[in-house]
Amino acid sequence: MSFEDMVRRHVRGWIVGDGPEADVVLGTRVRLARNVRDVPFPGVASAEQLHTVVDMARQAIAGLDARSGGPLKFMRMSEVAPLERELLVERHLISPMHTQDVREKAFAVRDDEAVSVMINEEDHLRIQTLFAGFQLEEALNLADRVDDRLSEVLEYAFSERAGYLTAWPTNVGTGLRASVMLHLPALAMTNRLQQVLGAVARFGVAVRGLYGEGTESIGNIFQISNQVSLGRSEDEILKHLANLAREVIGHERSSRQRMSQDRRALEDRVWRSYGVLRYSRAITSQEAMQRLSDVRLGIDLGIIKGLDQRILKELLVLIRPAHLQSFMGRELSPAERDVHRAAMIRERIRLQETPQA
Amino acid sequence: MMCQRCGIRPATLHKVRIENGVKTEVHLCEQCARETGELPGQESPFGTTFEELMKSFFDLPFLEAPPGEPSVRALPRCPNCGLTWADFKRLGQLGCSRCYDTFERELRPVLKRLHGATEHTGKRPRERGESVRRRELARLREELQQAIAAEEYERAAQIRDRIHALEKGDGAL
Repeated sequence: MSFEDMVRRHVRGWIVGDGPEADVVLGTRVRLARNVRDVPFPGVASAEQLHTVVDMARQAIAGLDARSGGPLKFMRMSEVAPLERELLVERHLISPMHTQDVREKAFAVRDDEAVSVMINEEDHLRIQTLFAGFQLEEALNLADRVDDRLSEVLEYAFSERAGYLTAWPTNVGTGLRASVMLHLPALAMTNRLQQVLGAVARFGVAVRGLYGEGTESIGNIFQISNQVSLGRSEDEILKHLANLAREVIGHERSSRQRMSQDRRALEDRVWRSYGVLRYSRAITSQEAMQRLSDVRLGIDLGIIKGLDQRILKELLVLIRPAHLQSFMGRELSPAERDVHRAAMIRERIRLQETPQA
Repeated sequence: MMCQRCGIRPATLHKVRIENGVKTEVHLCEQCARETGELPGQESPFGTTFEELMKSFFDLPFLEAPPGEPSVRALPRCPNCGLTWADFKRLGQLGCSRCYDTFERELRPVLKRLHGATEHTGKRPRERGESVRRRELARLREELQQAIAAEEYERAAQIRDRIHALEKGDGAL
């Protein structure tokens, strides 16, 4: 398989698309937590009960046609090879938790990866939609269509008072968690990140690193998501999150504008990072992400021309350990990964680059 | 709010300490919280901060009975999954959908604190919920006619109230 085939095989959907506000918003994710009525939640249920849920979910998911967000490919997690499981995590399709103790766990995904369902993670069903750019409404609409169809087949745990009933009381009500993935290099460089993200956090949104709760923010990428899921409608939750996200986007853009007035320091930093990515022979993921963040900012501000802005999103997935190992077809030590990561980045830049003016 | 130690990551652990009458606030990200020993080391990147949060709920005075009520209520075990309130305090997770009924009284303040609300106002399971509701309404209306015909007015009034509740959308199915 050629390098280009490999890239095409591994990056699709939200990763290659742009979407609205793509200069700051990398992607949008919506998740709905749903459970089957009266069957104990996965943390408590017996293997037999979980097995039943997998069977019920498989049948329900098989009924998803194009109008209802399908078709989805269904697989039991025990039939997915360990490396493939890690690939799914790196592509934001499943949580790390879903790769552990995989008995009676399952997963379903649409070919473009915009729709996926985890079965027997913390709840019986977690329906997820992923879109490029800032597309909260679109992501919820699609998740809703999947949810509506599944609810015709599965009897959900729902109460008039508390809404959709979930394993964690933090998700009860709408079961909705909506997230916007933001690239905020200018706020980081001007030391305004703390101020801006701190301000939105006070309005009831959670701010996290790229790979969810407890993970570090690498490459100046942050997720903001709603914290409250009960007592407000889905639309109200999305509007609130969208307003706060727009605040952050506005601050990032104004910081970029101000920075581009002092062009020399900025250009120096962008080109240095470009040089490291273009020529290094070993690079850690931490450094690669920081350099990619600089380069992407350089592309956004017109400093670097001839390089596609999607390089950040593509590489942010492709340089992670499971993707590197999948590409090389074998296990790699951390030191080997740094070498192959550098090679991967050089190759990607070479492929995309058109001659500089 | 950002972590006061590294200034890079958002703070997820918030503590207020009062020592010798002096109040100090601690705001740390998860990594710094571990490094300073504020948070025990854990493997899973999912859910750890929330577990800490949940644990803090149970140390709060709202779980004490209001004046005039017995201080210890014999807490039931969920008849469906067998979870006890003590299990929930340990796990932070509920066992099944019926737990929400079993522990309704205990959960309400927890939900209020987490969400600022206790009543759902969003989406309902559409097709199935509606068809079950429609069927239930049709059945009740028939029953009402029978009760009136049999001059069982007390029963008729009960059925009428149930119909009203279902029509308003706040009756349990």
